[in-house]
Parts: sequence; C-alpha cells; structure tokens
Amino acid sequence: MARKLRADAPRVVTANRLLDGVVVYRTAAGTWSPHLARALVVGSDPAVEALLAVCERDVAGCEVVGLDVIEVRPDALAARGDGPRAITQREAIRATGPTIALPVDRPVTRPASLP
Amino acid sequence: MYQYDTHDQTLVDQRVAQFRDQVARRLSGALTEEQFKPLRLMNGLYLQLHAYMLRVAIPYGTLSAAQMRMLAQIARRYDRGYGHFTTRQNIQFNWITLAEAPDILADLSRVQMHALQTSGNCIRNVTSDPWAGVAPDEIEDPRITAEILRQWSTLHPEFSYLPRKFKIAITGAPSDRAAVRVHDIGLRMHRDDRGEAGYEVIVGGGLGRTPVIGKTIRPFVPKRHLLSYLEAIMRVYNSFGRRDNMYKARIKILVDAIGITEFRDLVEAEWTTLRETELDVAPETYAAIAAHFAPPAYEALTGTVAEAADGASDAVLARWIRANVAPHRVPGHGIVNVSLKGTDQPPGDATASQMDLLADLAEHYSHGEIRVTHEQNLVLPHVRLSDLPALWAALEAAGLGTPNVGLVSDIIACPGLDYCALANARSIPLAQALTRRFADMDRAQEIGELHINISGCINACAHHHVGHIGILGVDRHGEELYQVTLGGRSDEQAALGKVVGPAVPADRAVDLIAGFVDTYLAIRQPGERFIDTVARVGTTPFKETLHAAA
Repeated sequence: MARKLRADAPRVVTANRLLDGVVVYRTAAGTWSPHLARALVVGSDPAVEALLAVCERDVAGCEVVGLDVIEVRPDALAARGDGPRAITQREAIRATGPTIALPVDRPVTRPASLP
Repeated sequence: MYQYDTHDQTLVDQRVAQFRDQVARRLSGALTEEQFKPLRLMNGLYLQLHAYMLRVAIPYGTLSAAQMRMLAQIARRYDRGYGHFTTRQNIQFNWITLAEAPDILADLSRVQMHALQTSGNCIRNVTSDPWAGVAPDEIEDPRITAEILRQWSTLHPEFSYLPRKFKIAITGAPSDRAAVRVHDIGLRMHRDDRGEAGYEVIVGGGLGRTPVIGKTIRPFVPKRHLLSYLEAIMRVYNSFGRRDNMYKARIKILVDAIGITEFRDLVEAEWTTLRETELDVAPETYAAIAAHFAPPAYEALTGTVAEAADGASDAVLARWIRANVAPHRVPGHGIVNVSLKGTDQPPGDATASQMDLLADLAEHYSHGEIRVTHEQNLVLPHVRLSDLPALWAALEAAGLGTPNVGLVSDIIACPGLDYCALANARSIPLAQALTRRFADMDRAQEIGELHINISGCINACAHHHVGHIGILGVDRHGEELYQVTLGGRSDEQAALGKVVGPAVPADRAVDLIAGFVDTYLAIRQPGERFIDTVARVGTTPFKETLHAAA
C-alpha cells in the first residue's frame, strides 16, 4: 500500500520484472537484483528522483514494471553491514517471499482399485 | 455438464490468439503497461506481490475430471505444483510468468476453460450452489440458468465496461448455499401459484468496504423473462452507477443512494422496452441447455447417509461421513465434500497430485464430475454410499480426508499478505494457527457448525462480514491486527456480523476465538448452533470473554 516516506529516510527503488513478475531492487551497478541486500540505498529526495529517472528507462525498455520507492531500515546498514532490510511487513514479504510453507507436490498413493 | 458448441470454442480460441498477440506486443514494447494492464486483467492475469497470478474461471463451480487434470498439469508445468481454489469457485495460480500466460490459456481452451470474466469491470463468472442438481431440497438445477447467464454476459458489448465489477450468484434451493444476498444480483428460485419455476431477484448486496445485504427487487420473475429483467437492471446500473469514485461505484451504492423503490421503478420502466423481445428464453432453448445438465444414470439403490455413518466399520470413517457427506436426492447416494482445510494446509490449496487423484476419483466414483464450493472445498456430487469406505481411504491417504466440513477448522481465508498486493495483513498463518488450536476432531464435532472467515483487507475476499466469526486483518502503523465480528451468515437468513472489541494481534486473536467458542459451549441450549446462540443472546456474553482475555 502507498506509504508516506520521510524525506531523509534511507530508501531503495523496487519493481517487478516484466517477464515473470519477480520482485527486484535497483543496485549500485545499475542492474536489478532479486536481493534487497544488494539494493542501492539513497537518502535524499533529489537522489531518489534522479534514481527514479534512470529506472524509468528500464520501464520504457520493458525490463521492469511497477516502480516504487520504499524505506529501508538504517540500523541494518551501519551495524550489520549486510545491506538494507525492509521495514514493513509487506516489503519484508516482498523481499523474502510468503511466510508460510508452500504446498509441496508430493506423489500421492493412487488406490489399486482404480482402473 | 455443459459442452462448448462451435461458437463457444471459437470465441475462446480467438481470445487466446488475441492475448498471445497482446503479450508479444507488451514484451516488445509496442504496448505500455498502462495500455496492457486492462487487457491482461480481462484475461484474468494480475500482478501480485511476487509474480503474476492467473485466475481461471470455473463457471458455476462445475468441473469435469478432464478439466481437473488440466488444472493439475498447469500447476505442475507453469506454477509451483499447486493451485488455490477461491471463494468465487475459481482457481488461482500464484507463480505465473507473463511469457507463458498465453500457453496456459491455450491449454485451458483444449478442455473448454478460460480466464474470461475473472477480472475487470464486467459481469464476473456466475457462481452457484455447489450441490446443484443433487441437493434434496432443490426445485430445479440452477446451473441451467447460470449457463444461460454465462452465454448472455460473455463479452456482452453493453456491459464490458461497467462502473465496477458485477457479481451474480444463483441458487435453485430454499437453503442458500450460494450466498445470493451478498451479491450485486442474487437469484433464488421459487415456484409461483401455478407451480412454474422462476426467480426472486435480489439486488444491491455485496461485501467489501461497504457491506450490504441485498434487497428483493422483484419477488418472482419467470425463467423466460429473466434475461430481459437482468438486462434492465444492468442498463439502469450502467446509466446511473457512479464512475467518479471506484469506492462508490458498485450497484449497492446506487441502490442505497436512490432507494430500492426508485431503483425498482427505473428497472421496471426499462423492462417494458425489453420484455417480450429476443431476450426471452424460449422453452426449447432452455430445454436444450438443460439437456447438458441431465442427471447421470444412477443405479437403483437404497440407503441414507445416516445409515452409512451408523454402519461404518471404522469410527474415523463414521466421523468423516457425518461431517463431509451430505444427503443426496437419489437414494443410496451421497454428496461427498472434500475438505481442503487440513492442518497446516493453506485454505483452498490443492497440489497437482491431489488434483490428479481427485480427477481419477471423480471418474471412478462420481460420474466424472467435481464441484468447487465458495467455502474453498471440493465436492464429488454423485457417490454411491457403498463406495464411501474406498473413497474415504483414497482421500485420507492423499491428505484429503479431513472430517471438518462446516466445522470450526473449515476456515475460509483469502491469500492475504503472503501473496496479495492489496492485503494489509496475513490471513493464512492465522487460519493455520486456528486450525491447529481446533485440531481435535472430536471436539470440533462437539462444537458443531461454525464458520470462520478471515480476510486480509477490507476487500473481503474471504467474506468475513458473513462469517459466524469474521476476522478482518488491518495494518495499524505497520503492525498486523485482527478485527473480529460475530453473528454474520451468508445463508437464507443472511446477516452482517457485528464488531466485538478492538483489533488484536494474531496470537491474541486465536485465544479470543477459542474463548468465544468456550463461551458458546457454556451457554448454548440443546441443538443450538453457534450462530443460533449468537442470534439468541447477542454479542454481550462474548464481549465479556473479550474483556476477560484483555
């Protein structure tokens, strides 16, 4: 859902890959990664606007859809050194997938009585 | 079952070809996302949190074994080996790629299926009683009319860009198993004084952010005139429904704004121009459609479901029969409800292998037919009572033998925030936690009929407003909380639940529901279901449970 972002908050740009809908994040190398930890973090409105302008080219180029800017957790950046982490539950789920065990298509026993 | 004629097949095949071209143009950049989005939605393709989701139509919830096998094949080949049966009797695949979507639609067309009318501001896939044609209390099979409505509404040029989506449900029985009073139009079959079957037309019901119980606009419309009457309703809605605010655009808002009397007057005036026209369904046309839904060749047998349960050789089998097998209109047969609500199973999910098995079982035990319920379960509608032990054993071995249909752990839940781009909170983990809390099937049977519905947002895909216990997930400053309602019901006495107390975190919600159940068990009178007790005493005794848990 749309969420008001603080002007000085650390932020990353995210989108979905057009071809398969996979969640991706803009990296410092100018690529799109499915890993939030590899996202480029920007911290000011002008920097965000500039990054979005660049990312729009990939929207026009049919690489990604649904550009969005999300806040990330700053303490994770400094203290853990393992890249940004999502703040909201929604973005955490986007970043790491459903929180439930997905059904596994195990073989089922077919009764011998069936033709 | 209905079989496509050449018009149906041509229409669907042409649609597949059109969508293949549209996807190719999107991937090449010839179409922007803004241009493409309405086209993909018209073909049931959504972009959700993690991937594209394809919603496949299962008209009035009826599937053949061959169609179920194709759904299994799609789950295995294009998805992650499972699918999700929805509260509108459809199926959703959660992990689809855009590039493969046209191939999926082509595969579906080979078994007379499609994804039309599963999204967009059109008349959506018509839903119906999952026990249609086999329920003992039924007047006539409502699928005949549902199929006529499908043919009328599919790509209807006047109603393809309505103010908002439009949902029709239909039942042919006095017991409402299709939730007709919470649809834009609900149809409930009656007989008139001469014994002729027709429909009570209910309008302006719905859930979502503005829940409304529909009002009867006409107590009886003969079957012959039904299409013209519905067309009149649609025209009035299309003319006067709001288009400036999507949250005020459903027909329920229009009916509320001008009142049912004025709305009825407008419809009746429109109807005078439409009745006795080509929209009349001639008896021979009705008969031709009805022939598709002719009952299978049942054997002449005797016995009842109750006798089958009493005579079961195994107590677990007897419990399953009592919970999951309903009386059939033909002696010696039963309606088998297959629970998709096993412990830790996301409500409504089935794996590809389970779908394949169900197709085999349907062919062997149920004349090749399967139904999908709006409660996210499946039905084998034509089972000989003598086959119940073997069928149960096969279901049980595949994780499909949970004896909880209609009971506390038969929880209806939307995909919620684990999948859905609109959701505010997760639904499935809470459903699983409640299922674990109520895993004792002996206790579940002691509790009796109780419907819990969990929606992850105000859009109410799990129909929480009409759950005996309704749960709505909300996001309060980043925290998932759950708002509980009591006393809702979607049957022939449809009612909206009342909020009891403030929203609570998930773990407290489980305790709260367990407390409500304990309160019910303590105060119920003999033979009283949970919903009856709430109707008798109101919510006050349950609110005391809430305060005690605080």
